[in-house]
Amino acid sequence: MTLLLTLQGVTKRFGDVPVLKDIDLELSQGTTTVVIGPSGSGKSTLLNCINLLEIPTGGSIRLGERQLRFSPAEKPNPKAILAFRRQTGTVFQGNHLFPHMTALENVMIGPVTARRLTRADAQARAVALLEQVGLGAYRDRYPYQLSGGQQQRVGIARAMSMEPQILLFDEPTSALDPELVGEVLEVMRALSRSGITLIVVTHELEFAGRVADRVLFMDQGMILEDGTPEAVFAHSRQERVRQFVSRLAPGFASPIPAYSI
Amino acid sequence: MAPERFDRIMEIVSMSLLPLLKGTVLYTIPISLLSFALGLVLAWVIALAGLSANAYIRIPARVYVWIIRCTPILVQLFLIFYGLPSFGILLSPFASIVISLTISEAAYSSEIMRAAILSIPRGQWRAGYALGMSGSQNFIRVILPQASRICVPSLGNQFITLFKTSSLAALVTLPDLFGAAKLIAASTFEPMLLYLIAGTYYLVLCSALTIWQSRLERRLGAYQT
Repeated sequence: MTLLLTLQGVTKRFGDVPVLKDIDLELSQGTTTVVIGPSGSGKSTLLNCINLLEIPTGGSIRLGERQLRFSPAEKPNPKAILAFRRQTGTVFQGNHLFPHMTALENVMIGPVTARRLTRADAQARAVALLEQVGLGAYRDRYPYQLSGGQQQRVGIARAMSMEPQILLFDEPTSALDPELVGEVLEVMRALSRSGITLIVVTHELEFAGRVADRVLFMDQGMILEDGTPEAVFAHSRQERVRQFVSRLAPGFASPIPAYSI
Repeated sequence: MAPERFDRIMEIVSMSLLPLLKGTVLYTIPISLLSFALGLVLAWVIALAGLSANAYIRIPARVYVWIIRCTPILVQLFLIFYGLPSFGILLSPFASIVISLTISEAAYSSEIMRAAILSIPRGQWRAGYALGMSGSQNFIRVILPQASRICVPSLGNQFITLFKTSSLAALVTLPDLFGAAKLIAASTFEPMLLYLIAGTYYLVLCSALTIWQSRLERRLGAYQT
């Protein structure tokens, strides 16, 4: 499989506080990776360093053809950041749809402003994307006229509108009412099958178990466990991981360690 | 009320009608509109400067707002009209009142604009950046449309306040709505009557502005957050 994303020694500090410690990571094209871990473990910061909403303090990131190196002394130039970021799409926990635009305009705005597509082109694509997330009939609604789940699906269509190489999901269902979670996960599962590369930060372990090719467990700014869902959920040797999994999905993890002393 | 008194009142009301109307149309309305328009342009520049990350741009803007907001507009007006001539700068009464209203309007409105821009949640910026927009694209397409709707009610209030404050024009000799009333009051010795009439003019005009403002607000409130 082709390597799509490579992180080497990526660190991020907020002031004196290290949030990411020397992260190494390689992701193949077309895979779905789920990142789990307790809050404050650096999951969201990891995503924000990949789309450069946060600029890493050190290390290097390669995505597709582009590579950026980071150092505390100087930030990469804004043009390089923009070009790099345009290869990514991000879905936020609180969807952050633009409230003054309809669903369709939300999905058109990126291509029209950042990629300079004509409005007609952008609209044709946006309509197709909204169809893809099952919201073709809702294109002229404003975000406040949509349910939380529909809003988040528009958020997914918007993230895909820039035709990113990788889609990043930052707890996409955490702010939703429980009965709305399913429709969003359904869209994500379909995406995962369509061959797009996804990184999903989530607490939905069941989703992870069914959809993920790979699960990362993060704790205190480090990747503590890395493997298939089965390996991480059921057979982890790390006490922290087992505790976390059993608290989040009691029936999911094996209650007894797979090994004994 | 004695019939002579009643006749006198009617006479003064009817003779004051035209001068007050003239004062309104020739001075009060143009002064208000002009200073509001110029004030908004200046306010926009000051608001942006006040938000700048560059301290050499930001601090002068903040100092400007501080000084103008913390001194009476009447003092500013008198400095311009009575003070500047001693430096050889002679401004017409009309220019003086427009300049002083513009200066203070800019300070107050810039704060409204600055606050509106700051009130847009950080997530909106992040979403725009995540779509690959540059800072200025983000500002123009995402932040500004939302911020301007937030501004409208407060700026409407500003205009109503400005409209009334334009009566300071009378203190630099202009026969605006208030100035005209003042002149007639002085010549007829009927201050109570004249200032009541002038007050009624302001009340009617500002009520119309209030209605227009609430209509505008309703039209811009097409979406909710």
